[in-house]
Amino acid sequence: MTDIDTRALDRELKKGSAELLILSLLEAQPRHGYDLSKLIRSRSNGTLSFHIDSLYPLLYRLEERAWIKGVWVENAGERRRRVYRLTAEGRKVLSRQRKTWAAFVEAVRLVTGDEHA
Amino acid sequence: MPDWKPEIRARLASVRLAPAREEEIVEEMSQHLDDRWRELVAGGATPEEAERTARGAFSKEDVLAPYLSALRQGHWADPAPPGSGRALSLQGLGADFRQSIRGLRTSPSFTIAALVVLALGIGATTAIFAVVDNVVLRALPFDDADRIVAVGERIAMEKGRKGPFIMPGSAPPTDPQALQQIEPQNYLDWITGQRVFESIAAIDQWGENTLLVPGSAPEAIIRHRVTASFFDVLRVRPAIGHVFTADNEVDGRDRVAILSDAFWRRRFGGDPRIVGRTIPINGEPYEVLGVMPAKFNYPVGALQSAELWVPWVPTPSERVRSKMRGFYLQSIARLRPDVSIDEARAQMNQVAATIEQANPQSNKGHTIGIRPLRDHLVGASTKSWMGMLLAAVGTVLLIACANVASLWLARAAARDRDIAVRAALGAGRWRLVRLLLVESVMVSAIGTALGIAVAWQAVRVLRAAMPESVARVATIAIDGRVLAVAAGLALVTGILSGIVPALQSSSPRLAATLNESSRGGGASRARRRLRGALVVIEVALAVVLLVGAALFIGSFVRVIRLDFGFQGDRVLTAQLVPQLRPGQDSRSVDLGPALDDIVSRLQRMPGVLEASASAPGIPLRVNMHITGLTVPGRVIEGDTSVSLKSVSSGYHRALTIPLRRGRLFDATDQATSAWVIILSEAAARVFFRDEDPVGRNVVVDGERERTVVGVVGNARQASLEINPHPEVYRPLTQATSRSGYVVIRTSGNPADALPEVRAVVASVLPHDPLRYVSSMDELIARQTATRRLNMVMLSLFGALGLALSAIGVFGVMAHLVTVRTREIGVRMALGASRVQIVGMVLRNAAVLVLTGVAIGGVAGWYLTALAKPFIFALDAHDPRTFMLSAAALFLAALLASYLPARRAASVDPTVALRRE
Repeated sequence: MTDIDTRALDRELKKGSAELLILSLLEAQPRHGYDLSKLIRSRSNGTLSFHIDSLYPLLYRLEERAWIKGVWVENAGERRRRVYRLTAEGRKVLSRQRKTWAAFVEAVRLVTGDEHA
Repeated sequence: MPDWKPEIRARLASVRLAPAREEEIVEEMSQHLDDRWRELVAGGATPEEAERTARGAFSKEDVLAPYLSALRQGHWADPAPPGSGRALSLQGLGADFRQSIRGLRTSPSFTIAALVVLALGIGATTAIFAVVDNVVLRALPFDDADRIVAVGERIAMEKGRKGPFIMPGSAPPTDPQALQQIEPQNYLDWITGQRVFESIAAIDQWGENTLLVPGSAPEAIIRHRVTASFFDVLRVRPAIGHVFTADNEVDGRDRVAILSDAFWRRRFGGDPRIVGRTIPINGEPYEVLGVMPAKFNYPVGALQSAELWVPWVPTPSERVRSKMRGFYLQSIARLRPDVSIDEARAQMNQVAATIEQANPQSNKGHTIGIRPLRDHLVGASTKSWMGMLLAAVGTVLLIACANVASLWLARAAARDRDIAVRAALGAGRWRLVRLLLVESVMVSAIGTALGIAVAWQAVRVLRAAMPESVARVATIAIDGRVLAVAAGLALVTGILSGIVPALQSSSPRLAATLNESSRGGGASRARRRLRGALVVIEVALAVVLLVGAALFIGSFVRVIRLDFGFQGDRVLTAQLVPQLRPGQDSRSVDLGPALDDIVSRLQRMPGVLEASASAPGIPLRVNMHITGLTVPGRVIEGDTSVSLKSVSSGYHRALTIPLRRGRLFDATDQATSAWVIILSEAAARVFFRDEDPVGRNVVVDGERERTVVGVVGNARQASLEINPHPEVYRPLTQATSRSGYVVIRTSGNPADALPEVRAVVASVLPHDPLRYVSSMDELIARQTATRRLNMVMLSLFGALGLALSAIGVFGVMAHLVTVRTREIGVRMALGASRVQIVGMVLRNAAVLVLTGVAIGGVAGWYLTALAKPFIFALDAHDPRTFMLSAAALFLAALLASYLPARRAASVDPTVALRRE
């Protein structure tokens, strides 16, 4: 390889991290789409946020991969809502991605930390 | 709360989601926006601000559609989208049909043109096939018909020896396989010697027979004498009554008869009590044993089939070989199940060899011929004639196909974008080809339906126009078999005319087509080349047809323009054969005085210009007396046979046979006066070279000397197309005649004179019917029927071919002009004159047409060999014929291109250049 497509790398990073965010948030309990977007924004203190038109395609993709499963849930007196939960497959993927992410963050820290050491 | 759904739906519009899935997504996302909006309002925002902020949740670059399209659910497959389906599935065929009908209705001019062309091509082909199938191809309507054979004599021709049945002046047999008729002695020896036939029968079709029921007029009937085995060979039994048996084949027990259904109905009103009654035939009572079924007639499908069958019983003299020879029997037989026709031939020739050994004098060189009965009835010449007609009409059909293919190509040009869109939507090539083929097969199916209507009419005309001599003419009709072939033709023409355009249109050049601004591109150029090639083919085939037509027209005109030596208009002829009383010797009969009486009474009839009689025959009838002529004191080299006629004094005037020297017969030529004779010019040349024969003496037919009193022109005899044999005439009063013809020239229509002629004849010969009543013109028409039919049909085919190929040229040139309007505009703007533009278009046409003419000329050179047997007095390679045909086509094509050329020349450069 003579040349790295930095924009592609950037995209992959973002995509990878977005998947990780969703899967992590669903680990504890099933949530609907608006819940997810609100949690990401609040927990990152507003740093991370999803546009609606990229959040839902992402959910559908994870669903197509069978990492998460969306079902329509109807509670008395409320509109029905689509709620996503993590699948067993998604749980495996999540732990793998967490390790990869941790290794990546560690690597980045090592590289960037050297400058300050 | 705002309604978010329209916006979401709009963003989803370009994604191929299943409708239900799309609704889910819309619902889910609008809930999301509802939640957001509610939260914002709860946080203190106005509804308007909240809405604006919520809508801001969409990213600027509208990524929803592309993201979703990347997912599987973004590729929902419609159950029946325009182009889906596996490679060769028939799914959606119904949709293709509906599509085709819509397409055809939107382009009526194309549809009508294609339908007319196909209706003509398929109609003509179906009609000719109906004729060929009924006459040649179809099995005979008998049980196990392919086991039935005809058996006949074959006599090796030695040099100088004449065949037993080729009369001078008649046409030679055209069928080398033809069977000759059989001597009774040989037939009797065959049946005792043969072991290969289950049954074998003899048929005697000859003889003049009279039904004379007291109180009604005598009636000529067609009676066949057959052996009882005739009914076994054909495996037929009467509908009522029973057949006669071998017990009836004994003199004294043979006065029994079987009637044909038609005769029974016509003459006896279909009375079932006819069985057991006796009817008087030839003055003798015959007991009716049975009536054959309505569908049985023999010879099969003949216009003149037998009306009754009686037993054939050989006379005592026919049972032994003597100098008196009579070849008059025909024979049919049924092969034993274990014997092939070749084995039968081999064994029967052993039989013939045994007979030859025992009778070396009479049977030298005699063998036995066997052929399938169907071939025997049809004959090889008819078979090849039918083949030629079928080939000619097949050529018309090919031209029609090429023409329709060309039309499809033109139409395809207009549909390129439609096709490309379908392909872009995922329609496979097979689906596209199928759609286009469904269209073309459908058009040709409709064309065939119209064609069958055309054929229906054509068959009626053809049946009436067919020569009587062609076997099975009466059965020609359009039936299930012919319709099945027509349906096959529909499919074949549909595929033939559709496949090239379909393959060409469906070839994957999507982007090019979709981008192409509708013309000038690669696809249309290839299409133009294809259409050009089709025109070349059409022109080539049309040249072949035109050459054929020209040859047949030439032949017919030559036959009609022949100097027959007599004039046939307004001449009525009829034969008289007085019935012998039982036991009466035919040699004791002389019809002469009765004929004389009849002629003198007819002469007094109003409207009769000249009444006369001739014995035994007249021109174009087979009755002839061939005999020898000698000139005392002179040795003549070569053939000295002449045709001898005994005629009344008016005969030559009645037929307008011109007198060259001396005088015709007159009232002074009586039995007691000096014996005289008139020679034809041909006879005078043979016997007297350049000398004047008048006044010289000759001996004819072994009589005493006669003095030549006149020389008349040659009159053609049995065949119009054969040069007349030397002929001599003696006065009717100076000879005895067993039978004869009356020949009457009338001032009006000869048919109008018939009732009075019958009355006159009945007053002289009350027991004898007139036979073979016919005007001379009818006899001529009958002899020329085959040529006339060939000429008419080939002319029709040629005209069709010419018209179709001219239409083809017109279409291609018109298209070319449309496509090149811009180029023509440029040329004209640069100073090209109208003449130059017309010239340009015509040059284009000329290249195509000349190529076609050249190919067609070469093909015609070889193919006219097929037509050779049917051409009279013309070389099949007659250069003038070829030149004329080529010129006709060339002119027609130039005319056809002139209209588009003129349109090209009237192009307004400013308009042409502004287009696009």
